[in-house]
Amino acid sequence: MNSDFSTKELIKSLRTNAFIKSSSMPIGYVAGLPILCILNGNLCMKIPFLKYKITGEVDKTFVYPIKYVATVLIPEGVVVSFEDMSLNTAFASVKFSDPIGTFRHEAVKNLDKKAYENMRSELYDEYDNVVKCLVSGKKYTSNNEACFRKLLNMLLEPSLRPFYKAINIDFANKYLSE
Amino acid sequence: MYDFDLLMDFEFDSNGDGYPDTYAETYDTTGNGEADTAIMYSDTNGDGYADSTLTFADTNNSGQYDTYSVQQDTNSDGNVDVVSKMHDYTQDGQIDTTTTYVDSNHDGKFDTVVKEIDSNGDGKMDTMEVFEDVNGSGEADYHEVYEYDPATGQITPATAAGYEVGGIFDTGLDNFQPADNYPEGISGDPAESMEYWESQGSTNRCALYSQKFVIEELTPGDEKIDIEEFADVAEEHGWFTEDGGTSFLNMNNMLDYYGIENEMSFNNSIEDIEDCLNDGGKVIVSVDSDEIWYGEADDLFAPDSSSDHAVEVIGIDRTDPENPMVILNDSGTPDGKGEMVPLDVFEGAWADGDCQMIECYPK
Repeated sequence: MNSDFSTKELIKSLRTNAFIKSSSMPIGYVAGLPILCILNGNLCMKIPFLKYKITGEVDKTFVYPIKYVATVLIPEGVVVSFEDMSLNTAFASVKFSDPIGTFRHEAVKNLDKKAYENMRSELYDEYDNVVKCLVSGKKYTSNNEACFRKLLNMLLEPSLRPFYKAINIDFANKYLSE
Repeated sequence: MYDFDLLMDFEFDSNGDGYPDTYAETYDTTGNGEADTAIMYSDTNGDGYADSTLTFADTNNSGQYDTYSVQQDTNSDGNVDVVSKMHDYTQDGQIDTTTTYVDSNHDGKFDTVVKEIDSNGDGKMDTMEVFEDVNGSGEADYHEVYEYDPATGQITPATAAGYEVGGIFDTGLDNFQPADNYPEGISGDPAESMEYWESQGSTNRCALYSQKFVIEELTPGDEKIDIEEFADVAEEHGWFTEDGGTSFLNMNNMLDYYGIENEMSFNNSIEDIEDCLNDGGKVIVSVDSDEIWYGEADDLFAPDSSSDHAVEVIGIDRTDPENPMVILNDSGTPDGKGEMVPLDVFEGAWADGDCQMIECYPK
């Protein structure tokens, strides 16, 4: 395995990925926190894409529903599918043009931009740890897992939780606390 | 209650127990000698506190009441815990919106707000929005709109909670004003280009408007484009949706449709934009609008940002070499005509879209 696998770099690369650029996804969508899953024995990351809209008011940045999901083979970083969730039956009741929540949510209200970005970077490092352990067969310690869960639950906007459950309930059950 | 002119007051016994319990006063708040506000207090339980106060107000001096307010002390503790405000904005005698504030735990702070709207003017409330102060901060929070149903695996609506979207804001950016020595030191012809600016309002049509500006500038003798027809064509061809907007690679399709010579490229420099403008061309770029409009505030940000907005670059102003400015026709703000953005801010916002640029030339 490429020991330099980096979740942060993968997400950055998706902005210029030809597969994604040639899709129907309008400008303005950004990648959310990845969902790890195993599909037919293959380790993958499902990368959700959604919009945010700064309204000018602090802590009233609108969060919109996840509209697109790219599935990426890990650790190769190859995009294998790109789905418009408006065509997914689980999302049939979702009104994509309306916001569903606001940012900064309660758990991160005291973080300024720099602190938030640092914490997100830490979470990406934890994603990398999980990937490295899964690929190499090394043990993923309970401490690692606790750290990953803590950061994920802090940073994931509460309004997005139902969407994460719908995209992959196993990941949600394992890592998202109620 | 008011320091305004009290025109009339009277009292009566509303519950027939022999004691006056309802008091009414009319006021002239504008000083024109006419009553525009009427207030009625009721103390039906005789505890000395008004348990209900009804206010009628003619806020626009039309001679007709348009705003009504009812304040209630539901638990007789002397504090108002329910306030309902009703507005007849259209002055047709029917209430258009009713907003009710409730202090359900009687702590002196409103924790629930219910807004009912008669959106189609038929006299019946058809839309309801509910906001709750879940964390007791004193402000209405926005709780989850959807929930996951494990039985079906579907996402389903959770509450009637809603969010107000849109609204006009002021970016605080200056607008281009041609100097006496214009166009010295300026690439492009911003003064002329500004004549074609329009606002996109709250739509996702930024890429359509940018292309419209360019097409009209490069075909000045032709009829002005109807934006609705323009949007219909783009939507029919799958290049644009009203809900989502336009994708990167579709940002020049309407230019092609109208026969405007153009070329899209990435990883450009500001000099590339200047060269195009100096050659008589027009330029459309994609930028991160948050960086343009809101700057880099520590507490005002999104989890991530990207290029989300298309604008036309109509000039680069280097008349002050220490403060070079990029001049935009920005349809995304009401004040976007000749919007002036510091060059370094523009370059940062442009970089989020990999410095995408569409160069356009006359037919």
